[in-house]
Amino acid sequence: MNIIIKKFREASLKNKMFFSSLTVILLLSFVIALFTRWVLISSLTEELVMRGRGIAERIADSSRGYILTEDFPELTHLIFEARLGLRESLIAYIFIVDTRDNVMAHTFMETFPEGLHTANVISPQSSHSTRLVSIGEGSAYDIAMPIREGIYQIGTVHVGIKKEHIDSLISKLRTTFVGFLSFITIFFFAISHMLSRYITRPISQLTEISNEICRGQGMGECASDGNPLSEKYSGDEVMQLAHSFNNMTIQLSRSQKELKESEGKYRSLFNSGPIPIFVLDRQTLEILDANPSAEETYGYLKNELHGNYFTDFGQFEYEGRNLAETAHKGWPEGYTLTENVRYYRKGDNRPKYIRFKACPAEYKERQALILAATDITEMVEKDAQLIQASKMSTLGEMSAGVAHELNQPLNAIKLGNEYLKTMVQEGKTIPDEDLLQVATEVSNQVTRASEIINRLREFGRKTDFAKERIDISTPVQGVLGMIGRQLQLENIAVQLDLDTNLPKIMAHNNRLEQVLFNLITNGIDAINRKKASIEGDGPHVIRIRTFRQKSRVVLSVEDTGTGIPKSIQEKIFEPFFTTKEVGKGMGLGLSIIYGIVKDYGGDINVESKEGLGTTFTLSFPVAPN
Amino acid sequence: MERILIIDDEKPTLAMSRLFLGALGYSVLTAENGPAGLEIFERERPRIILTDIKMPGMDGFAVLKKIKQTDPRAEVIVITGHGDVDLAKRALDLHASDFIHKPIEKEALEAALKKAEERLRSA
Repeated sequence: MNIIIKKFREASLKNKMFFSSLTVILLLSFVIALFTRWVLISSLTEELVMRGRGIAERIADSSRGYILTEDFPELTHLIFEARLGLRESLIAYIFIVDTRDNVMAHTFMETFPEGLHTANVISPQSSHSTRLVSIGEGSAYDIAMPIREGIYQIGTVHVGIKKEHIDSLISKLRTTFVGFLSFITIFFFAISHMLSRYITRPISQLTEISNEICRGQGMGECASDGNPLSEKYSGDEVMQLAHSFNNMTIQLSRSQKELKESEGKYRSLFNSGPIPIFVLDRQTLEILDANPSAEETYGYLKNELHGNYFTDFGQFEYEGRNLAETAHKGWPEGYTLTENVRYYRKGDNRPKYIRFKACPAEYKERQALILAATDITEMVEKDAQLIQASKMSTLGEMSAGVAHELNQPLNAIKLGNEYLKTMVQEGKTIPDEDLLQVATEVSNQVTRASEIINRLREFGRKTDFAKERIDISTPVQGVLGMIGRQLQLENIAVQLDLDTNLPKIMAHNNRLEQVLFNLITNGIDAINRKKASIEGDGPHVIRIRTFRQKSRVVLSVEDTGTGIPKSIQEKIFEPFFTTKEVGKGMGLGLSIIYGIVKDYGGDINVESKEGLGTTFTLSFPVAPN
Repeated sequence: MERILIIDDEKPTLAMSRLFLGALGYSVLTAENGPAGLEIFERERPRIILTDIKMPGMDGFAVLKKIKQTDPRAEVIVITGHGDVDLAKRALDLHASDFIHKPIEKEALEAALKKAEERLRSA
């Protein structure tokens, strides 16, 4: 019993509804069937008995005379007649007995069944009697009716109503009734099935949805306090729904709490973090929000920042394009990191530098850009100082060569002047022609000397932050102007292979000169080392090439020096790596070159074969139009 | 008139030297590089030669050696850059008569030329 109850509780609502309505219908039909059967059988039997009584009464009336005259053949004829026709199927037998229970006439074809004439005796008080008796194979309702003459009873007529007949009628009725009930049951079966499905379907759907929401909360499983999933929970739809709903609520409140915590965490990061963070409109770069650090860095108050455009604070560029333009064209997905950008603090003319990371996000239902800036002013300044210091040291290395170069024009001027002085001292007239020659030469040599000085000054000048569009052959020519003669004197040939139709690149001319000067003097050193060695013969060449390779502008400096051993090729760009003796060079030259080239988005590679020479290849991106 | 050969890769220097030495009373021959200088030396046989040390191709030392091989009595005065004492010493080891620094001072040049002429006379 318990099992059934348990099973029932665990069944789905649909089945519950279905089974309970079915049970009620079946019970009801059963009760109705029983009741109607009882009513029908009793009334049918009564009716038939009444009919039997009617027949018996008629026989009693008609037989009175024959009994008094004791005319038995007529009596027998009478009862046979009474049984004729339709009544034959209804009436089993008729017989008449006298007051002493002797059978006077009967309708039995064979012998009169023993004991039948005394089976149904009318009690003295009643006018008739009915009793179920058995005859042969069947049974019958025996109706006994007294035959009276005046106040005297002269006999009794017995009419047997076939019970078979009643039973067949009842069974016919029962078949019809069961058929009808079956039809009703099937009909209700279908109706209740449809109805329960109709009712429970929305509930199931609701459960499904709430489970879905639960899962969607990112918990992977929709468990409350470590309980199994609601899907696995047994019970009907309503219970499942309740459970699922409960889970969903717990889940929702939990994730809401988590969200709140997370929001709080980020809020505090935003407010107290040392990094300036801006929230910008993705299209217009309007400042939607800024943290205190941003206010501090830029020197503006919050209300001064709000509603202004980020691009008002500096020339921001991203991948060579204006920031506003980039924003307008659609910000790229994912994180983007800018190069160094310059900005100005409020009321401060000294430039500051930031590098920022931008990431698209949603902010108050707007397409926003979260922009985290890092102040790199100090780093940029230190970089510039380091490059400048390195340049100064390069200038020191150049000084001997420059002194020699400056001595040439000075010597020519001096000689010309000594000539004039001598002529005047000796009182000779200077031919106009010679005077003109001296004057022209002096002028030329002064120009030459001042060019050398200008070039030096330009080289040593502190570089501006902003890059310029330059032709890569300009610094090549500049450097050769400074040390070309030194190369000649060292008997090193210079092979120039410059493409004059190259696109411009974004760089600083004097920093590139610094790079080239370092590479060329390294080449000279390598060639001189080779000259000093045993296999020092052969052409000594420094070849400088510029060319285009796909979307990049390439500059290569090739020497025929000693080459760099494979073991140290990877280290040469590391700072403080040097092969020179202590005190001769800090080992910063190539690492600074590396830094400079990288700052222009360029690349530097070295290829070297020991004893044959070294090639440094620098490639730069083409400047945007 | 004493003839002097000047070898220097600087054209302006050569032009001015020609005028200056002319004013000092010399007959001047000029050459723009070592090999050209040696060729003129072979042909003209001047007794005094002024040569720059730092020259592309054949440098002053090579010129000095060749001339001294051909004519050990030739007076070769080398011209060095300002303060190049090492180069000057090396030149003297190769039997140069004297050295003068750039930019050339009249007194230093005259003294060196005078010394060379005296040596030529006494030889």
